[in-house]
Amino acid sequence: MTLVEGKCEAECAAVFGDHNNPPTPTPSAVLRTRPARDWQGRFVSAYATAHPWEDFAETWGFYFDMWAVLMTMHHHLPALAPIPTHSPSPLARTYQQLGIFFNESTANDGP
Amino acid sequence: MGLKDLVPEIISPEVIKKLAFIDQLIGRNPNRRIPSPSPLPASRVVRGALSTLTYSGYDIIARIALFRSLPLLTLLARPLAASSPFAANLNVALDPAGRFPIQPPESTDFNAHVPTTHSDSATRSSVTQIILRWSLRTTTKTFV
Repeated sequence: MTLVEGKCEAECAAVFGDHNNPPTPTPSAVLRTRPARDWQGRFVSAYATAHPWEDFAETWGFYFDMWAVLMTMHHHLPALAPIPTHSPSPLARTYQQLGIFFNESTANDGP
Repeated sequence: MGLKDLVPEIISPEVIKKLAFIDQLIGRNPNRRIPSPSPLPASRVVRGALSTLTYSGYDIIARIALFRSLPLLTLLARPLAASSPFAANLNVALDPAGRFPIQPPESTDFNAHVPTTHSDSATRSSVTQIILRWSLRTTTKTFV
């Protein structure tokens, strides 16, 4: 929030939604919130649907998770994971390819 | 998230838009520290090797300690086993030195074969197992 508040609140609100409306809910209210059925198309997690700030935090965490996975993969298997760029689209594409690879690998171990 | 879905396979354009915003935001930060692709630092490799060696070291020490202390622990456990109600119920008679009575070796002369008392043998075996398990558990708790 320190990065956003008073600096680029309008831009952030345009992407994540207005964080002042609805007001920030209590943690228990967040946990009670039921995510929308189509959350996968708009959010990185079901929890992110609770509030724009939660969405921001979840996306932030997801961004760094993505970087960490891709960098680790690049160190160990450079052929499978090329050098990640700072552009989110190729980053996400490589991450998706790796995602399918990992999911298929784990599926081979059993359900 | 089950095992099958370790990593999301679908990242929607809307999520990519959000990721782009985060990326821009980090780009504005003067303290930005995005790791650049480089070989694994030597310190990390050395640290990994050391932790593996340390773990192996602890494992070896624990094993040595376990086997070295087993006779002592068994010795200490003998009076305990002898005085336990379990041993009394099973009617285990220890010799005056606190040891289990030693059965003479089975004769190879089949004509002179005397049926062994299976219950005695089983009792002795189970009490020995109790002592051994107790010793192992104590040693493991102490050293590991």
